[in-house]
Amino acid sequence: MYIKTGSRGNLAPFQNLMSFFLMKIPRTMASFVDSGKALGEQQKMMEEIANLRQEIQGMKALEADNKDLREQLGFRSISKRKLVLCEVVARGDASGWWQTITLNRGSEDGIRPGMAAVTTDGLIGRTTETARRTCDVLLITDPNCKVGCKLVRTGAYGIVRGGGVAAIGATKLEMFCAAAQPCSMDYISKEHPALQGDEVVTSGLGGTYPAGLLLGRVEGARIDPSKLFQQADIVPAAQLSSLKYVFVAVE
Amino acid sequence: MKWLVMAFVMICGVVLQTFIPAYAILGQAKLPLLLALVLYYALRHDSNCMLLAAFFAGFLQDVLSPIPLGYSSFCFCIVGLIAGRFRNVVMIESALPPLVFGGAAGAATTVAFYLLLAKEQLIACPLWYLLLKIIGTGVLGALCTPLIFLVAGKFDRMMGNVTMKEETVVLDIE
Repeated sequence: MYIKTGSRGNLAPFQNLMSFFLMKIPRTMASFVDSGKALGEQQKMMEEIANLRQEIQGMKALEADNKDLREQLGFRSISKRKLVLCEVVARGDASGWWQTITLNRGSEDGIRPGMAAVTTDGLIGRTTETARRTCDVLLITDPNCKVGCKLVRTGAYGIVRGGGVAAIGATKLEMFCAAAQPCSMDYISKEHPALQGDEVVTSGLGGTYPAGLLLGRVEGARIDPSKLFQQADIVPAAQLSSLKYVFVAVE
Repeated sequence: MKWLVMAFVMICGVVLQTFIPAYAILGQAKLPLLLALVLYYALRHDSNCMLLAAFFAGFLQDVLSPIPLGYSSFCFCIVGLIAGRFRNVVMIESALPPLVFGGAAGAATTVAFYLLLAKEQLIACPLWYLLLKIIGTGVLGALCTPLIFLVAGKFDRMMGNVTMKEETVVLDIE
């Protein structure tokens, strides 16, 4: 593991160099044109917006739950966590088997595997491998990513699993852009019908993801083949195809 | 100098392979630049050089992906050893052998990776997606391998690792 982590760290400059050519140069050109806004100030504001939005989402979840019980169980809301601003330096891994992104921050900034990655819109995934200056995030649309969630309106629990990439039944544009299919929320109790537009937030169960993070909204629901539970299609709240800045919730 | 050139092209290869986007229509298959480089060293250089290239390429791919260390090196070494057996049979300057080898090796490594990763329960994908990925890697391998042979060959000649004279001698012996 140390060999892999160390080597990843040594390859980071090459990734950053490529990222520089692909991202920084057009951005620098844009900053010359639009001289009124400094990039540093923009990043600070984004960080502030992210913190405020996470705080609002955390409060929504708190309203639906029993506050005292949550405190007893020791759940912590995201607003109590520190968010580290990261920049996306690469999309996808070198092998193409997983839906991941690579960020320009790593263990030097306190990031460890299994931490939640969010944007100003909502949850995007969790960190998997970390090096000193980079880390990988497994996106929620990857079929290998499973998140314990609940519906805000009804409080019904379920597990959200990535739907993979649209290849069959998708439009030509979706297929070329590698558009992700909706996630699937399984094991929802039949007693609480899921309706279109219902907000889905992380439940906090399992310990990987903090409670109250917005994941997406229900697109449609049906009874699953076993006829014991409901199954719902969830559209992620975050725009996963155009990620530039990501926050990692570190303790 | 040969090792330095190899290290340089491998690092360029893995960085490009990571950055070049994958398309859903090809099963999210990545452009197999590292595999193409392994084939290049298998068909254009000696066995020791090929094994080192396969090991290094596999190491780099594993480092920049969630694949456990050693899986890619194992697959690439097998591909290199099989391709190496045809070293004295194929025409060196023709574009057809790299195209055929690239396509076949791309498809075969995808199957091998699937078997290895699914066995460890590291991936879960439906059969249609796997088939799409096999076809995708085969097509991309067939497309990029001749190009890699051309670029890496020119680079090797420029650095003095392989000369036109040497290649002609090999052809004459055959």
